[in-house]
Amino acid sequence: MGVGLTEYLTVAAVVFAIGFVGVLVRKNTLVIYMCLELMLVASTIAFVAFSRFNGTMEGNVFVFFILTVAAAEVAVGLAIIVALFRRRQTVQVEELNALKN
Amino acid sequence: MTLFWPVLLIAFASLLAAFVRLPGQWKALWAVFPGAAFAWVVLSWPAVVGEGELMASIAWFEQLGATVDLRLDAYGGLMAGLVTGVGTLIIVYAAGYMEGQPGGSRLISMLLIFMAAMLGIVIADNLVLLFVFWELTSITSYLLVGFNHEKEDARKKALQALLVTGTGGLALLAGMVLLALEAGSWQISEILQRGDLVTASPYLPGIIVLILLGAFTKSAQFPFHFWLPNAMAAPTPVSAFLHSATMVKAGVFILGRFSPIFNGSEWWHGPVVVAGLVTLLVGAILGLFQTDLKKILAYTTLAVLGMLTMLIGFGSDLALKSMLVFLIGHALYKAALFMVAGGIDHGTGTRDVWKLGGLSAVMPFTMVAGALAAFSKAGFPPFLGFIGKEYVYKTGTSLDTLAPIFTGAMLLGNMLIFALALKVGWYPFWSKGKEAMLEGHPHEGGWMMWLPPLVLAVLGLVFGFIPVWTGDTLVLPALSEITGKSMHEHLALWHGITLPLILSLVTFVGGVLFYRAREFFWRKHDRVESSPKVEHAYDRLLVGMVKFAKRQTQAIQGGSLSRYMFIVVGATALLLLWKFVRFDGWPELTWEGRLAPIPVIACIWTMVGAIVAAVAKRRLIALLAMGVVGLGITVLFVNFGAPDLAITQLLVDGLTVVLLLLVIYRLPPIKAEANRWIIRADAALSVFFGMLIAALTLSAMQLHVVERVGETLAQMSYAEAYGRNVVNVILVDFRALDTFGEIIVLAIAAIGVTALLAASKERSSDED
Amino acid sequence: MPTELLQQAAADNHWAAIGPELMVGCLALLLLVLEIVLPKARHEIIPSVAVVGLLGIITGFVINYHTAFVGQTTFNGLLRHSGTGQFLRLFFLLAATGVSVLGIVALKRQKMPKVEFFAITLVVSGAMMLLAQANNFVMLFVALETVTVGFYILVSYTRTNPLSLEAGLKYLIMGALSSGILLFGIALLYGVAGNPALTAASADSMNFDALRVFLYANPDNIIAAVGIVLVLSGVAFKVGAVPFQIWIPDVYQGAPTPVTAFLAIASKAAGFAILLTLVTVFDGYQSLVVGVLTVMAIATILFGNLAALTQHNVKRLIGLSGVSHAGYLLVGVIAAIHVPFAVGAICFYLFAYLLGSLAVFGVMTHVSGDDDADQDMDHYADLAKTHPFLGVVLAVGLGSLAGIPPLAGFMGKLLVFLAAFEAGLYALLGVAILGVVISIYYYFGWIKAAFFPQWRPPVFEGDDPLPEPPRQVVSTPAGILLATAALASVLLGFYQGPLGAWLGLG
Repeated sequence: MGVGLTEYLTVAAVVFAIGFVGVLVRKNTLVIYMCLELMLVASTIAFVAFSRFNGTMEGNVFVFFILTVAAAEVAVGLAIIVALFRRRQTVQVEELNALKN
Repeated sequence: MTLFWPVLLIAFASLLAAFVRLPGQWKALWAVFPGAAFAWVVLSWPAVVGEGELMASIAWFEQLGATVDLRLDAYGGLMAGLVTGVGTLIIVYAAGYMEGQPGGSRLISMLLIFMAAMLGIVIADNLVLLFVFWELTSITSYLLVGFNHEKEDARKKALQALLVTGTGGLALLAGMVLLALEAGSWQISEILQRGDLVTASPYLPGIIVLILLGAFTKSAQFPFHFWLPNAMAAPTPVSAFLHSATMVKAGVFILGRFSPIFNGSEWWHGPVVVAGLVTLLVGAILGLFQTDLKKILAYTTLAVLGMLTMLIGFGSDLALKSMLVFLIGHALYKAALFMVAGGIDHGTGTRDVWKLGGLSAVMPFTMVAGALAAFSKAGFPPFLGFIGKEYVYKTGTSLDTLAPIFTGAMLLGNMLIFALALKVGWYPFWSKGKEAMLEGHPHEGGWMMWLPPLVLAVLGLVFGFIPVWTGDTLVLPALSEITGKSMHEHLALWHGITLPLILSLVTFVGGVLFYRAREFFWRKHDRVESSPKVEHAYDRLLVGMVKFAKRQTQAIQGGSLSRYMFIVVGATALLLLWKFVRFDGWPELTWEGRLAPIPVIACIWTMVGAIVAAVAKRRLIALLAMGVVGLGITVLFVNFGAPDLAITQLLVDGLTVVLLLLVIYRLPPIKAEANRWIIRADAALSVFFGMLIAALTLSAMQLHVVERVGETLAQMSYAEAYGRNVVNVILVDFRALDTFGEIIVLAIAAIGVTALLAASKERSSDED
Repeated sequence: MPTELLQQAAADNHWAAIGPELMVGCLALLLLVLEIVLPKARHEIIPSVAVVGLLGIITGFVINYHTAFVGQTTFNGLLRHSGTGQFLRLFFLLAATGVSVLGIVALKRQKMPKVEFFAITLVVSGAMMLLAQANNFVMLFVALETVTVGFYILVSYTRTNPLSLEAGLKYLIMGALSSGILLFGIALLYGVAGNPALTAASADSMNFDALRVFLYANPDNIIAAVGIVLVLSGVAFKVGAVPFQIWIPDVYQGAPTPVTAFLAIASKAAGFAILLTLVTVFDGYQSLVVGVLTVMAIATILFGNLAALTQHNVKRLIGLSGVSHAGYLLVGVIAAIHVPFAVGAICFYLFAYLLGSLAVFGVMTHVSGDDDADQDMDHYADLAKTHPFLGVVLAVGLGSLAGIPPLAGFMGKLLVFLAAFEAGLYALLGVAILGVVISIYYYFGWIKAAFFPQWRPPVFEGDDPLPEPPRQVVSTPAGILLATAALASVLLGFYQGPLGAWLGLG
């Protein structure tokens, strides 16, 4: 094992940041949604890395919960996006601003 | 406990009046309730004067030190008598005034609840309770002023009064909280005894200023005076009650109440005297230009309130005595004059002085009431108003400093008040040649409209006739209460030929001159009204605030999701950044470069996938990149010795990709972002945030590697839970509850998706 | 992890301790079963079953669980049962009951599946009850996500309405973003607190007690500090503190009214439940936490009030005024670090807020027309005249929210401000009082709309009068709910009794 915790955490942080970039820069709801998933993935990397290097199981277990929750979120999220598209014929965020001040 | 009954009785009457609709004139029957309360005040007066006070108390909210403490002393009792006594007459008057109009019961109900609150103010012996009643009067007065007004402007004025007095009320609350903490008690009677604790406190200036803010806004002292004339939009019974005898007196009342504590402090006398003086002059002078009877009365009320405040500010025994005499006199004649003005309005349909005149023949009773009240106000002997004026001059001439200036101001103020009194109580009845200008047939209202003002006006005369009785029974006990020593000097009508008497004569002459020059001032009415005033500053403040609020809200809550996310990410980044600037300084970066092939490849693989997913121009590519990321993660999991996790990841990831794939072709292709600047700003922020996170994570890691994956746990899992799969054991045993919750999440998701999709299907079949 | 600890842990699963939550879950299940079993014509009774069931659970809770397990931790340290937690559980049960009644009123008009609404409301409130007792990040995350996912569905519940869907999407994206931030913060805290190289590291570093000890021992750890900031940001989203309030007006407007009520009342309270717990956990980083919260509180109070000032849509107004309420509560949370009774004050405030909000939302469900998102102040014209009951309830509710004495909301504000005063937070108090002043303006603007007669163009003979805004007839259960909320708002201002004693205020 030559790779230290630092490197893994760097990966986690970088993926997290990429997720942020995507969330901000992209305007397609679906892609934004994927980027949000990226952020969750980043957290799972961090959890597992910590779990491994700290020698505790908690992190591993937590990742299970994250995965399932993410799956549930994806399911609900997609349902909303599809339903919205049927109504409005668009998934571009800048066109979805009927609710505003 | 009997102290509770008057307040509860009136509040009960209010509730009853809201539901029981008495027809027409029978509404006057509601006056029985305040009448009973008034009788109670009168009957308990000997006991109050004899024993000094009546007290009652029940527990309320101990954490706040709030008990419902009531206390009837001579000072509060005097006010209680005015509130209930005038209130009784007002209810009768209101019943007559509202006859044949809708909403009479509602008005009487609201008047009664206001009366209960006002009575509460004068007999409350606890600061929190006092504040509660205080704000209740603000709110009920808001409803009363806005009563039956369809004009947007009138509603705005009602809100203006509420905002000014409500804000002042909060200042008062803050001041009272400070006061209570410094004195160590919430009970007013106790605080009054611990005055030295308060005066020694470093917060004394703050306490005084805050309490003054409360009192000044309520009593319409300059520069908060503007709401009172505007509140004339109220129906006349309301003005007669709130803006003469009661609500506006509440500020003066608490000034008097707390004056024993603050008397002697430099923070007290200066502001109170100056505010009073300015209000006196502003009110009296602006009143000259008014052409609406009620507005004239409103401005004289301002002048009188200024006078009362100024007298309290002087703080001498004589000044306080003058204040009390003046206060009683004013309550009697001002309420009467308002009712007279309402009667004229009712009988002729106008309150405009240009149109009014010659009513003495058609409205004889109102005329008598108006004349008596106006004489008292003008200060003719032997009315109570005369005695009050004499005492005012006596106070002015005996001042140590600046006596000529203050006496001069009093003189000018009284002259103008004299002139204004005649304009309301005399002019409409006796001026000639205007009869033709009145439309319809001017007529006298029913007895309910002229008897109440007549009673009050006659009382002003009677009290003036028997000054010794008035002084000994009413003024002196109250005076003893607010000066803290027992006072015995009788009140007298005739003091001999003294300087005050000469000043009174000058007042008559000056007053008559001002009265005769009335039309000169009236013609300037429009010009004065349009000149810059304090009110405009208030309006501008309000408009500016609303404008600013609109702009900020539109900028921030503009409805764009991208903007929202930008703000959230930006805020998080700022918080992190701020944390370091403020708390830690910048972290040091360290790098312990040790690399091994497989994890490094997996890491790079993951990152590349992530980047591709984030920037892909086509849906499918983005989706595939997501899958790539998932695979990279799976490899990492395996590398960490967590195969269970790897398998789960693979499954969930696959599921997600398939789900997305199913959906993706039902949605339109990705569009390019139009605005390059937005892209750049977004990219800049996100790169910044990413670097911040990465730097922070990198910096801190002086963490060291220990043994391989939880061996002890693996051993224990069998011993404790008889399971061979560590993760399983944890999931079902040690984290049972979470697993349970997890299942629920999935269940909800399933329900939700079913519902959503089912509905979509339903709907699309509807459309087809 | 020593063996004894695990042994203890295994014996620690006191399912009885979460009896109420289990019963709420079972009730939700029962509703779904009933939907399958009962013929379609009888589905009408399902919402009533939900309400009656909830009332039964509340009764049982008050009788049995008042003090049960208080002071203990169960489920291997996942849950800690405290007095505050008990109160909040009752709070969420009451909120769920109120929202269910509102749901009955509101859903009747929309052609929507009804059963899911009640089932999800139940499950979400069960999760909130767990959230109030969470003593471990795993528990916190799972419960929180249950709540969040449930709300995704509830917000977009009126699927035929594009506005509801847009609100759902906005909530979804913003919610997922905040979950991501929160999760990354948890990961950092977990990792750093479990690191054996540091003093007081714990093998069970998701546990709040262990984390607290660790943070005390390492007051200058950067990773921990970053984790704390990220976690607080995530929670601020739930609470609706500026700048994480951003989703509130849009989502509140688009969501069906009962869901808006649920968001306003329970979701916010859940956020504060977490915050109160976390503030004690992060005690070792007090200056950081207080700093972050103070900035948020000031911004929240000012922004919320100013933004509410400009609103004509009452749903946006109530949302933004709710933001300002979160600001006052944040002041209370900061005070709670030093002044013990502040926790009770916050609970009392929340309770007063529950009553006031239920009253106002109850009236809103009756006044709103077919388009749930379009609820304008003008629709309230002459409400007091045409529906005196609704008018009075609205006035009491708004008055209580505005903090008008002697209503319950005033007592709540006074208590929180007093706690802040004792904690020496003078600057915050000044801002808070300023906020209250501004709030008078818009709350009374609303009351004004309902109470003062409105000018209308005269109707000539032969012309049809302008259409009146649609107003529902008040049904018995809704009437009982509204009357109870209004009466309790009045009574609690005068008499706190057992509630005050329970919260340590009496």
